[in-house]
Amino acid sequence: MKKLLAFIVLSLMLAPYAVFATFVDSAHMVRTSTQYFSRASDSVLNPGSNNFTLEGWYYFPTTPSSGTNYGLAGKSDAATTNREYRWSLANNGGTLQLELVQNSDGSSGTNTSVDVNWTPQTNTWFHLAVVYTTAGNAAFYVATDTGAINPTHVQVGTTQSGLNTSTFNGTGPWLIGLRSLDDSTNTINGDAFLVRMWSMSRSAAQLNSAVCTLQGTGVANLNGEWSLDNTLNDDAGNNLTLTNVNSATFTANVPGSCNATAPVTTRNPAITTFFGF
Amino acid sequence: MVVGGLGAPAKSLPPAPVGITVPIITTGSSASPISVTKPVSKPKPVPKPAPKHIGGIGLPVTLNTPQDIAAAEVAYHSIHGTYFQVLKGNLLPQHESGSVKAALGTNIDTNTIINTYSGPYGDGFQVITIDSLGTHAVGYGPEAKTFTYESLIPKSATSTP
Repeated sequence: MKKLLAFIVLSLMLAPYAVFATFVDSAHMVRTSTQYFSRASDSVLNPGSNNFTLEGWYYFPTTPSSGTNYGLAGKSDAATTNREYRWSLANNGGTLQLELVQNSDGSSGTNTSVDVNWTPQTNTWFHLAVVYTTAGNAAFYVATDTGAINPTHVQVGTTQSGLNTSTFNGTGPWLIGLRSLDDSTNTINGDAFLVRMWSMSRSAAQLNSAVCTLQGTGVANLNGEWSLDNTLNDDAGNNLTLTNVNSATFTANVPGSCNATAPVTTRNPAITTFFGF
Repeated sequence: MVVGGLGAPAKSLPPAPVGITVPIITTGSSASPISVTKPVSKPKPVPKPAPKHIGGIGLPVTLNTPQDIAAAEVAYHSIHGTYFQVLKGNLLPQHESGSVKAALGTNIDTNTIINTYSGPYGDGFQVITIDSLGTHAVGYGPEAKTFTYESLIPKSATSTP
């Protein structure tokens, strides 16, 4: 009897460790309504002389028409000469491409951009990432949501070169669903989920390891993490709460891989604090 | 961060010129509904001054300046608790209903856009005017500074300005 009671007590004590994250919502942005998310500039989102990685889950019901783009994320406002980095799905002359525009002094004179061809299947979740290094290179990665756990990233095209070797430390706003504040006609049409900004280059293996896992606070070089799961808050602990522009909504559409059968363990600071770890 | 309250429109830009069409606005296809949606955040009530231009004798045919539009938006917010978004050409986005005239008292210039936002510091809006010189945006509310800018058309256009 004592053993049974001990087992029950022990089970109750350990139960909180089995934290199964069931994601519910993603952010739904309608292009014809110019919907996106912004955050006033914070220097923590300026990579400066460091490498950086932008990543997130994106879902496209449509793709951009020729000469337009869907902003994925960025920190930029060309109108105030605060061009920093701009990441988008662009349609350049009829060819769909993942594009990174990066700038070293905020002016149009130091614009550098790289593109790789990539045509997404509509109504499908993709985990996208662009990895910039101060060698002036950028690599684009894509993982397709299969509904199974641990989708694998593959590099799209070859590593692109020719970018600036540092990034402007400007005061442009951080944006999700838009690449630059002055480019507000080129908002995304689709959904976004679990978007992150790192001041480091992330390998494909590192991207795979955290594709559905909330990183939370205290993770080295993680500068911002927005799950967009019915919240505008920054999970990385830098209080970079987003502003909702033009009434974007949350929608019950999340990558199947992130709610696959195997447990997804979160790094919930509330729980770890409770147990004193 | 805070530049001008909602009752005190930002003064960092002069009234923007209006009235000349520059076809640089491009819109994509709208997303098909995926599932049930719910508002991201609830509007927060903000005290507003009494409107001066709406509902009285001498109502302008169109609201041509950001200041006129601001007064109309403030009046709308005082009743509905949200600001009213307007696309170019007095068109409405999916989440708005009615008409510009019904909401703001009269139409706005066809080359003017009103965007709205809701953030941790409260609600606000942005008036964008497009003319032959470029795009002029004036923000109102707690994030007015972020949403105020001017993007002039360069002499030689580039694909990534």
